[in-house]
Amino acid sequence: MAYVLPPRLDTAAAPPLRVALKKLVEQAQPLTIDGSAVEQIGQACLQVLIAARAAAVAEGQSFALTAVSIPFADAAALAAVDLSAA
Amino acid sequence: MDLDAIQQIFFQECEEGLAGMEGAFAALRAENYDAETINGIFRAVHSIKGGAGAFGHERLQAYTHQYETLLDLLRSGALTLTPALTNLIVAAFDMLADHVAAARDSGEAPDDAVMLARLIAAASGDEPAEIAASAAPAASLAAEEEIAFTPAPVSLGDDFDDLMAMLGDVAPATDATAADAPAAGPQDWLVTFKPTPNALDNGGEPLLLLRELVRMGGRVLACDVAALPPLASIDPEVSYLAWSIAVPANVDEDDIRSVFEFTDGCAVTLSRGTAATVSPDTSETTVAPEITVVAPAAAAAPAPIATAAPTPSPAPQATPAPKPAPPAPVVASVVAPAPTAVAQTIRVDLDKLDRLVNLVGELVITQAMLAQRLSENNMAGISELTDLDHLTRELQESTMAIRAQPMKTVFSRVPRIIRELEGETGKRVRLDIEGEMTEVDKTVVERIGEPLTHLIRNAVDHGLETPEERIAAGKPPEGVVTLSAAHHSGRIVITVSDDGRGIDRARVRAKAIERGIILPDAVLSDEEVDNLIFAPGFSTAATVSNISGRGVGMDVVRKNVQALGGRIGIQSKFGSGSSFSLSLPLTLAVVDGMIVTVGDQTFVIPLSHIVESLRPTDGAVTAIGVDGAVLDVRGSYVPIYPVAEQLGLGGGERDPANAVLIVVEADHGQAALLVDSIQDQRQVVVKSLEANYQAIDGLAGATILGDGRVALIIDVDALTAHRVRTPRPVLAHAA
Repeated sequence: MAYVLPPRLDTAAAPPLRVALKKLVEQAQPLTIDGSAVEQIGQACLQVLIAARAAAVAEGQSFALTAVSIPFADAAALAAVDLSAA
Repeated sequence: MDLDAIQQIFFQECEEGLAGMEGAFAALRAENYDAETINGIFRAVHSIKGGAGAFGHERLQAYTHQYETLLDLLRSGALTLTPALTNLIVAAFDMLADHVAAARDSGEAPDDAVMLARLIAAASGDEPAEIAASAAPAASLAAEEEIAFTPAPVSLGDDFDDLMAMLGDVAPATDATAADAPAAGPQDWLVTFKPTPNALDNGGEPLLLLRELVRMGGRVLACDVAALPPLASIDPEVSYLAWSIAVPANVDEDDIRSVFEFTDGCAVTLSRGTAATVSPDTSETTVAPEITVVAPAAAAAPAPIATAAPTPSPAPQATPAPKPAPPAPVVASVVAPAPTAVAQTIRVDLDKLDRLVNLVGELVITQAMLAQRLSENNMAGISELTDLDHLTRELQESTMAIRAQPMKTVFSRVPRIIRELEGETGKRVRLDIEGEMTEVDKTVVERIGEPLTHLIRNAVDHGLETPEERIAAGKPPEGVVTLSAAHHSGRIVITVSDDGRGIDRARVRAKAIERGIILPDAVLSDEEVDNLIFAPGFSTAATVSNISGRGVGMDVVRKNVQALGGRIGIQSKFGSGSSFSLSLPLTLAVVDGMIVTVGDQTFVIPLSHIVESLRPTDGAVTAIGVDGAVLDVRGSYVPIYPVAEQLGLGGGERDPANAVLIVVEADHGQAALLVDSIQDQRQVVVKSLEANYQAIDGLAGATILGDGRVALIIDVDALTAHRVRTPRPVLAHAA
């Protein structure tokens, strides 16, 4: 079941995002994230995603972005972050 | 211009140079500096030396000559900057400041024999620092007499290839923007950028800065996630990332730096050179012919690019350390600032500025009078009046902005105070400064220095523990004093905090009881106990040191702050430290006030003191004593002060039932001022009573209203300091 990222991922959205992803990791769920609805994403949420990916990898779980919107892809490329499937 | 006036300018420039050096030292200590930082220090000393010679200040000249020699070796790479060397340079700087002051005030020059010996020793490499083996080529370059180095625009055209060939095996970059490899081209800028942890506050978005650089042609090379904590412990609102970005060589350094103009304190470094040429070996032996000349002026280059004329001296250059860490100092002797050909600042006589501000103040008053007159004749609606109103307001704002100075001018004196305190107390102090570019009117800047100095002395002397005590308490041996300035709802808030002992409330209470300031069984909140330290004659210092502890300090500080229209507050946690915050108006020249009528007089009550205004309902006012009264404000009782009575005026309302009560926040708590009625609320230009007449207790100044009448500005604290009970001489006379 893919976790759908909300359209607005500004700094204020980072705490709830972290809580949600942390829960998924703790429940040993594969982290499949749907980013097709994202309209804007800032550093705070990118950090959370990077950390979530690292946590999944550490637990031996999979991490994958099943779909990304163009703004999401742009931001990730701009910040040179690695959110590739793991 | 006579010689004295020119010399005046020289000393002003010395001041600026010294202030700039202080800023550079902070960068050196934080190891966040580049060649330009060191160059800047050298230039400042060099200028002082030149002027000293010109005006015949021999001692100063001799001293700066030695200092300059050392700095020259440093900037050419013949010497490495070690912590020991940094300390020497800073100590020498303090003495330089003393020398300049002595020269300026015709005083006694400091005894610099020891310092000179240290400088000479350091210059011959006696410092326990690694010195480049290839001192020879470097030294010969350093020996070149660089007189009045002025960057001259040079168009490089065909000569460029020759120049590059002369420098050795550098790939002749024919196209400045050649960059298809993942690494940056040889001429490109390498920018490292690490936002501060709180960079995400207040809607901050560092990605936008990356976008700016990309828009200039840059390319983000890598993101450093090393500092990112695991998901379980990450604080989602803290910034942990850092980036390295390649920006094409033909982009102006100033343009790159301006992208980060509004970020406070985040680490940004610029260097020429590729990440690929990075080698862990940072010895300065190789005269690396790498990037020493500024990128080629491509035919369409917008601005002339400055290069050193005539020898673009290939200086020994420390190769930058691997990416994620901030690059090691790049010692290049070529400076490539954009030649800001048009001076961006201009020096103005303070007198002229004051005159201008005064005239603008008069203009504002006259404009108000005109508006009044027109409105009396029912002509207030004309568009010219609205235009005039806008223009006047804008003119006033612009003039006030001219007088605004960054707090940096005040803060720049603090590092030296800290150094002296460290010497005197044997404590180790680190000074953190935030918000030094916060601007405030010069009237405030001039008068904030003294209270601030005292608070800092207090923090180090009483607040911080000795290194041994700190270690015993589990703290790092170096204490931290934080100085910050920020704008908050139309005022400026300056904080001095320390991570020292904090206020020992038990001791404060005991001392206050001992001095008879409070009764032994008084029940006080923590805040009230803290505020006891502002009582006159109060001091819990076991011994009186010559710095503080004489017990006259804090109450004088508070008085000074209040005289500026400010407030001082304390927050403290026993064992963790204390924080003093000063809240000051942005300027003393204008005040927002409520215009009220008392009898046949008009007064202005500063809005900053006003809590609320009301017409009392039945039962809200209770009489006490012979002629006093209190107002019930939501359960607490507030004393009523009829303004007319306090100021000894004949007429005016005395009966609260027919009056307006204005609840104000004063020194001693809340009070209610009783006035006849409220007319208006607006900003008024403050005219000094002392300057034009004499100081009067209870009044803070005067202003001229639109109808030409004079309105007196009430000093709320003074007016509510005590109740005027005795019948005024006016009535006694009549009797």
